[in-house]
Amino acid sequence: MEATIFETHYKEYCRQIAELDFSSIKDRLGIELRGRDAVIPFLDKEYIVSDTGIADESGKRPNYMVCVILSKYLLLCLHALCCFKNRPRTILILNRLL
Amino acid sequence: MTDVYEKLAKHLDNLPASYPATDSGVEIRILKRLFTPEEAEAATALSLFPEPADVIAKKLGKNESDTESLFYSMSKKGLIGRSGKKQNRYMAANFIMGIWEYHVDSLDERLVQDVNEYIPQIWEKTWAKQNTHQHRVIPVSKSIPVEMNIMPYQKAESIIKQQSKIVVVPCICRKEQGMVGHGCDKPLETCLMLGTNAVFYEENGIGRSISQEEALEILNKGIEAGLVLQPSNSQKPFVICMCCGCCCMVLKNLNKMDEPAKIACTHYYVAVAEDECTNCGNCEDICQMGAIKVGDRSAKVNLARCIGCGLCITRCESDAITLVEKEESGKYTIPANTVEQYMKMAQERGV
Repeated sequence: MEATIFETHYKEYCRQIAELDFSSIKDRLGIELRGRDAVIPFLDKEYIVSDTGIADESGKRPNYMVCVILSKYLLLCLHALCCFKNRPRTILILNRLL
Repeated sequence: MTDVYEKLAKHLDNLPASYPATDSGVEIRILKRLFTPEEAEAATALSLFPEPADVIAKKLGKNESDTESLFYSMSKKGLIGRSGKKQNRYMAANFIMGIWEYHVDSLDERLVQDVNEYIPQIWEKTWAKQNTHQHRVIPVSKSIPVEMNIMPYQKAESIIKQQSKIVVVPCICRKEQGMVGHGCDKPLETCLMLGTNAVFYEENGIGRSISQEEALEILNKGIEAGLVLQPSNSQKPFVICMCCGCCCMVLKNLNKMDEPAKIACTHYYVAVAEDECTNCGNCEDICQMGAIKVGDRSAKVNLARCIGCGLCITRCESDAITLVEKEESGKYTIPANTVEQYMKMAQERGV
């Protein structure tokens, strides 16, 4: 059983993601929007990120590591748009995460 | 200014499967054989998130149509990954499994020699230290006792029957070993690419698309020839490799270790009933790991070397060998899918 801290962090990521306007980062990341949900391809899978959480193609929440990577992908992009004009820096951060 | 090939090498080393630096610089030589400087620079803009060319073009400060053309050409050459139904998306590819295997039809002797110099160093620097490997070992079905409950992802036949797309590709290990005079006579056309990975191979003109029935025939021929079944290390594998201890880059390096069973990703091992063993030696002949040997009165298993492939059971005429499942505490957790496999590998490496 996972420690409760992971659930706490997951909820915090979801809270931050719920504040995101996906349409503002959609073109930067080349992601698809389905209604209010973002569809993020990652390796050979697609994940759905929404106000209510993160799910894989079957609707199940992926493991914690994957949730963190997907959250960072969205949140750091917004951060990069706000703080940097240099998009490649975001990619470097993500590559380190990977 | 950092050389573009060094930059690419570091970029590949930040991916889950690693691409570590060496004293000889062989890893840079390999990249120079595969990538032009322009391709090397472009490849460093990719991550494991598949992205369309227009998004990558913005990062590179390049024209969208030139970028699409460059990345499409690179993906066709097997330097990067490509996916997407509505539009092409491009992503970084691990060197192994990835870039190296995509070159199965375009190998040359110098590249093979460099990669053979490099792989033992990757093994030593990275793979041997990891808990989560690129492959896991599954037992051949004939070795599984009827009373043993086994998950479908632990049986090659079940994995094959779940696939809508299968492409069979020549085994790169036996092919390249053959090119430098160290090959063996085991079957060559044995690597079963599955699902989206199979689609990529087919679109790139590598291997040939086959039915489930033909895949099962190839599987049986591989087992008959004494090949170890090694799917990629998740419950939804993207490939089933069929490996020999003499050519396979994984088994060959595992074989050099004193206790390979400690690091092989397997849930199984075998036991010999001494009273029933005729000491014929068939098991010793087929074992790819040197894990079972005839003794004074019966065959003996060295559990430190047994990876639970079950091949010896298929050759035992006296039914003296049994497949045994490890205790729960001795089992590793098989990642649910490739994403989770790569995340675990990256986490263990601290990248």
